[in-house]
Amino acid sequence: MEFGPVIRALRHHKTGTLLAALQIAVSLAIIVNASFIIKQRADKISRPTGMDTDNIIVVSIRGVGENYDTVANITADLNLLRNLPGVVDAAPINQVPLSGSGSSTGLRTIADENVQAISTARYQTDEHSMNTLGVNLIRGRNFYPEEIEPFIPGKTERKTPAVIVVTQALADSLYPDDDALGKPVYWGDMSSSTIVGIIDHMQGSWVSWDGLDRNMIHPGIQADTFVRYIIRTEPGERDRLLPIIEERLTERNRQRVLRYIRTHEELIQRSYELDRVMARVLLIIISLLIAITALVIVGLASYFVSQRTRQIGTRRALGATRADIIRYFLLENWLITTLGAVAGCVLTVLVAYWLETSFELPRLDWRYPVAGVVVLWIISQAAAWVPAWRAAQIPPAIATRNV
Amino acid sequence: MLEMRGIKKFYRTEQIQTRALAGLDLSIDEGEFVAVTGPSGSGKTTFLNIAGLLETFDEGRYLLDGEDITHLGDNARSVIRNRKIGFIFQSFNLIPDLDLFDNVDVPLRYRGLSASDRRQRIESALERVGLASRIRHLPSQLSGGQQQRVAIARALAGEPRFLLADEPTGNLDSKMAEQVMDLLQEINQAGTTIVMVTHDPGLAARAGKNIRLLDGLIEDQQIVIDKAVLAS
Repeated sequence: MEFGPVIRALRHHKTGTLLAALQIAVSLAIIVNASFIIKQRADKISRPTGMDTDNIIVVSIRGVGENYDTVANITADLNLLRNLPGVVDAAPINQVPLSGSGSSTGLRTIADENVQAISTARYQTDEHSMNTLGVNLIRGRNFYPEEIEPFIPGKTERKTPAVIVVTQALADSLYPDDDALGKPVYWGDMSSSTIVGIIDHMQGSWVSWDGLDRNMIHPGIQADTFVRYIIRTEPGERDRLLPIIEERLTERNRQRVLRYIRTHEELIQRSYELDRVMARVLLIIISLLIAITALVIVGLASYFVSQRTRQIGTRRALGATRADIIRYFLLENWLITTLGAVAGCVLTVLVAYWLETSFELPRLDWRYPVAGVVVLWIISQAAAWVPAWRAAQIPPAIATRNV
Repeated sequence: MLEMRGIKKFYRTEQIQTRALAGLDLSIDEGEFVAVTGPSGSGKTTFLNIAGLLETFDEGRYLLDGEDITHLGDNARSVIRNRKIGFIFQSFNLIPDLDLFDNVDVPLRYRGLSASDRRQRIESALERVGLASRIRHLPSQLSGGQQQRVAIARALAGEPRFLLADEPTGNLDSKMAEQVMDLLQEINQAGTTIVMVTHDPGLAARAGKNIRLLDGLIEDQQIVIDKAVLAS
């Protein structure tokens, strides 16, 4: 390979070479870090939810009128929903997991205000909720029906639940060195509940919260005029049942407004909308940068070829085969790309460090710059191929033409 | 060494066809120094291109060093150019971005010689043309005559069976032209066959054989007798 002569020849084309290398370096830094961010977002979106989200429908209803009997309506609604063919189960719930809105509280293992509370999302629901959500209760028990009490705002007093079910993540946070099952937890007012069940995994309400996996379910029905139901259907029945449920609930009592009926999947997609938009924007930026980089390489290689027509003819006259000419230009391009890639790796690390310290992004995986360099090599060689091939078509007889 | 029989070459455009060589018959023996002359359009450059395997021809047969190259493919022609033919161009055709060492190295690299062998050949060739001390200079730092000497060194380094020179002194003043011609004669006397295309009758007279082309055919062929030999 002609490394030495190619490098020495490039020294006489410093401006074009350095500009192309700089463009490659900047592109590499942006492409690698953007790819890493996209991967972070994709991982975030594809995290296991712990729930049967593909088969869950969410309904929100607001009762109207002073005489609207919330408890009776909830009971009748749930009775209707649970008996619909194709419905696995249904439950009332104060907040919907992964919906972006919810309720949280802090729990302690010692009744002492000075002890740091562990924050957790809080779901108030009945004994059907775990089956409806499709979560896996790995230890302990579900709520008993007699533990479910309605809470009517303004009419009944809010009580601390005697029992709660927590996710494994919350159990581990509360009792890192001990078994949480059967243990007490203390609320903000220092009243206590006992952990009676542990769910292996379930995501909470806020997708960007680092405590997304820390969740607590406690028995009770929020019997407000404003209620939410979650309904789990048989696999494949969700979309068919959506209009039926809407129609039946509306028909059952017209003294209320059905605010929305949506699939859980749709709510989750809304929660991740910002992440999706960012990933799409970054993907567009990456695509543009790759296209620009390829164009720069094509442009520079074409310029070099057009500037060296006689030189190429001379090389052919002196014995270079077409393959030798192609090899020369691909090698030259590879060297420029590699120069840019080396500078780009340094820039990539600097940008990654800035993102890490300024935006609390995870540390850049070293495989990303490596993959970025390999991708750039492939793109640059592909981009330089056409100019190199054109150069190889220059006839050797050019060498004897006197301009 | 070089034998052409009935070589015809046409250049075609959409509208016209121009005949550059009209059935050229020519033989050049090993060790000869042949000058090819003729007016513009007589076919000199076409002859040089075909002789140097830079162009193909339409009809006829061409044997070079006993090998029939009539139907050879592009790669095989490149290999023969590289191993058997040395080129000296009117405009020198040195690569401006490379120093003398790398310029002379160009054909050697295509031959796949070892680095040490190449270095020895390059240094020896540049020594022979008197430019060994300027081995790391760029062509732009040399005079025209020196650049042509580098081109000769590049041709010599490959130890070719014959040299093809295209108006080798065309871009040089008379003093430098003389020096280059002296060098070519010296190379010929050392055994290398040389075919030189030139407009200059004075230079042609220094070759051992003159071939004059006209309209793509040999108009005249003369053996030049050295004046010194005549005097004796």
